[in-house]
Amino acid sequence: MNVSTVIGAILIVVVGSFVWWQNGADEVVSTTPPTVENSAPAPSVIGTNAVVDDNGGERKDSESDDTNAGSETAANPPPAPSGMTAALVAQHGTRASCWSIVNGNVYDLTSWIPKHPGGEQAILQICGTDGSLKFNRQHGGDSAKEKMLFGFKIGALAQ
Amino acid sequence: MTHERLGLAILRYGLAVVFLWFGFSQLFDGLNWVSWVPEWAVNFLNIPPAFIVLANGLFEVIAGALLALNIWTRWVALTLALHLLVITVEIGATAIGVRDLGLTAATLALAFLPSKEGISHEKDSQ
Repeated sequence: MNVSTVIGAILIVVVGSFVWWQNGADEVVSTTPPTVENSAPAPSVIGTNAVVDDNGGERKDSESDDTNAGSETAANPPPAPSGMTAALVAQHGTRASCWSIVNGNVYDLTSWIPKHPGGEQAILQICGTDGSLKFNRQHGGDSAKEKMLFGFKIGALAQ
Repeated sequence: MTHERLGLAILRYGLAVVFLWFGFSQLFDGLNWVSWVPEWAVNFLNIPPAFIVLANGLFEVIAGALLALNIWTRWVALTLALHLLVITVEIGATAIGVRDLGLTAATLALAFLPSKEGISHEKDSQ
């Protein structure tokens, strides 16, 4: 083993440790793609900016009011993310499983709730509902936001 | 160590750090990278964006490690340059895209530098 190899090995360890530390070791597990045990069908994700500015919606964080959320367990995962109906989306109206319809597509916004710069409430308002109006009002025509939203897409809304 | 070897080592280690950092970041905090996954890639691979991020992160960590260890450097650098080129084209003419263009050029340069200056294309390092 020569000096070059040793330097290279040190670099790998140092960079890996640094990034680990930078991201916070505690958060690492929580940001990996969801598994059957804890998630909607597809690992959702991302975006960097808000979806909705409307705080007047009647929908609230509904961890306690969704009677359907408990029907999906580790042994009984949600259905495959295709041909989704509005009724199916409505079953995912909680913080634990937040799906929303935007312009004909279904998005799993669960992991985005705590990261939404505009506040959790803006996302929670559209969980289980058609959020097209709110999204378009806030971000309509913004291709960057639409691209970010795509990262959460889990399927198309069945007609 | 000649100036050429020193310059090459700096280039190789520097690029290795870049790829390792981005690779580990995607593995450790994939959530923040999914928005970068282009729609065509999702449609083409037919897998969720988050898994593409993880796979990409794993690839960049492995490739970065090979660069750092000077293993198959020429081929690894060539592969990474092509990889970065796709990313650069996808990002377009933005500040990030131009930066990536420079990284692409640097990685490509590493792939084409003469082996006598310390570039390895063998399993064993120089």
